Amino acid sequence: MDAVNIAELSGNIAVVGYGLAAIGPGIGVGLVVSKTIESIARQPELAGRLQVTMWLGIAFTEALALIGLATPFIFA
Amino acid sequence: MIGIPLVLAAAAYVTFIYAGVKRHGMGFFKNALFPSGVPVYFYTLVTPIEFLSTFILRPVTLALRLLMNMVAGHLLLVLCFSATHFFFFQAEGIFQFFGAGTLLFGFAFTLFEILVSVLQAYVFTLLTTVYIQLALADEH
Repeated sequence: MDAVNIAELSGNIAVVGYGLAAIGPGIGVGLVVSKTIESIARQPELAGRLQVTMWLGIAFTEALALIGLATPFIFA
Repeated sequence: MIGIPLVLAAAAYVTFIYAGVKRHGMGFFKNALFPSGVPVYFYTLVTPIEFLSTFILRPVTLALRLLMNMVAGHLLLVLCFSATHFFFFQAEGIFQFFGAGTLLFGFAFTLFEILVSVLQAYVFTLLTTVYIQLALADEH
């Protein structure tokens, strides 16, 4: 590293891209789970059905993060 | 590595289309692509989206969900255990003690990945049943 390039970095910018892509699903899964906990606290007798719906919601939200993870393999 | 998830996703895909066609005939595709209760001019927007989400993204996400959970899990495990190897055999002085931490972390992640795999099997089954249920549902 010479004096001109003090802030030189190496690696792939796609990693930063995936980090950005993971923000949305992260917030989404958090929202899904927090709302489920709220609902179970209100109506504990519905816990079973709410959990099934929660897993479904997580699965759909998580798909976005997984698509982001798969993209470099597809377009490499 | 994509083989088994791909076969499972293809089986689920064929099953829900078969169930829908058996119950509704060609009406299944009409229901899926042209949902009722939508103004006619919106079909230019709705139909491509429905086609993409129902017939392309569903099987792709089913396969990718299983595959990418395995890939991400194994990447984490490789990271943990190669770090352990580095700290134990190549690092010097006090850094060798870091190896114990990464080894513990790797072991914890192994347990976590077992939990994830059980969870993903459950999620895959749940999604397949939901897709079949949606295919069987009567037109509103």
